[in-house]
Amino acid sequence: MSKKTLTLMSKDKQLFNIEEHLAVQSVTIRNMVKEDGASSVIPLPRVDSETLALVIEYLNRQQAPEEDEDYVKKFVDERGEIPTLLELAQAALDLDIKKLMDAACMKVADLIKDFTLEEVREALRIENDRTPEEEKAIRDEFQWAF
Amino acid sequence: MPSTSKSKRQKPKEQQQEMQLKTNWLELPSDLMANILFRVGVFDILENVEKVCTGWRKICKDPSMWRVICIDYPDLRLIEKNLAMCKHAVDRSQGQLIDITIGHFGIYGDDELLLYIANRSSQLRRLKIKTCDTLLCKNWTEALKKFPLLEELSLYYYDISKEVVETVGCCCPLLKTLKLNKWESRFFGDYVASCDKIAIAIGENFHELEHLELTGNQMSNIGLQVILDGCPHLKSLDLRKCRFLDLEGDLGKRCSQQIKCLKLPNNSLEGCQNADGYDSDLLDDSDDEFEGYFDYYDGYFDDDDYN
Repeated sequence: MSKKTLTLMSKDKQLFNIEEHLAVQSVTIRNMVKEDGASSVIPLPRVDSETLALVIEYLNRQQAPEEDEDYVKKFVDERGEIPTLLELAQAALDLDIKKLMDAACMKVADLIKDFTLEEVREALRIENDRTPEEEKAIRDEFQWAF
Repeated sequence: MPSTSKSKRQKPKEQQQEMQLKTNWLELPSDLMANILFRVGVFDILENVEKVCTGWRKICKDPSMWRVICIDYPDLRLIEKNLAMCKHAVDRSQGQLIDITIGHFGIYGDDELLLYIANRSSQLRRLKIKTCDTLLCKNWTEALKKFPLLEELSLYYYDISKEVVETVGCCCPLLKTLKLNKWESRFFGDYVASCDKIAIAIGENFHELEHLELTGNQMSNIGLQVILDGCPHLKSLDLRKCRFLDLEGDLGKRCSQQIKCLKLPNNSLEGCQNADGYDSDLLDDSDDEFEGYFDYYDGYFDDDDYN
């Protein structure tokens, strides 16, 4: 296979080069390459440059298939902050890189699991937008839990 | 190649906070959020996660979140609460449940739970019960009749009766995978003969079976012979710890000719789910469970190869 290179462009217009045979681990890119040869720059309007750099680092990994699972887990473990992981998961969703997305989602889930309600809201900057009526509805539904 | 060394950790704190604020996480695609929340697990979803905000509650109320359910009771003492939560999870699926894994079945109230699932989940394809105890459940036969689409039945650490095997064979014509695994021998009565009866029931009732695991089964060559005769489509067969089999002779030869993926009685139990018996953590083999979840996810993730 010839070592053709593709160029990806992040939301903030930074350019990243990657060899085509590695880039096509992304189903999205693979389909683009199939359709039009993707000779020009591939824009990724929802992925910022820092996240794209991570994705590229992941795609460039040189793991034997049997070590790959461990590598993906370690890769997301090292990026243990929820915002980074969510950006990564979203980029993996857009680029359709299933393994990376699932690993990132799993890691976020693992982190959230240990949080209290307030900690989840704080970590993800979510406001409690439930009205008193909704609070009551939830309490009624879960009477056995209170 | 751009360097990836400019790690976020090296950035000043203000900038880091700004990064955290720049995205409204509530605007993440709901598919992605569902993927994350699903992995949090039934009990944490119901007790915590779905109370975070209305957006998350909406996602957690969606029946598609509950098509695959994996339950491991965090506190076995809270029997009524556990049962209520399990039923609630099943209710949320609104009949769309296709895959359920239950840990520590057979402690209390499981008979009731099994029937509850059966009456509400006619779409079920996979039923997996771990560390359940013997023949306590009286409703098995009645319940299994209500899973006409069942493709996989996996029971770990379980003694099952011949009648139940026959019922499954009769009522679940699509069954391709049957796992009746245990790792501890129990000697009572004529155990080899009763294991042979089960093996014979398998051979006589599951002609379409493709995958069979009988780890720790005490059947003799007689039982295995009937299985090989009766299940011509068998691709994989796990006979680890079946120590009453003698595969030195023709039967052993036949096994290796007929079965593509064969695990022999003296093969190591490595990679075996729950090989430690009671104490294993159900969610440890989560990858396996979640793999199933997305297989069923409307083919959203198709796994065509990369070449």
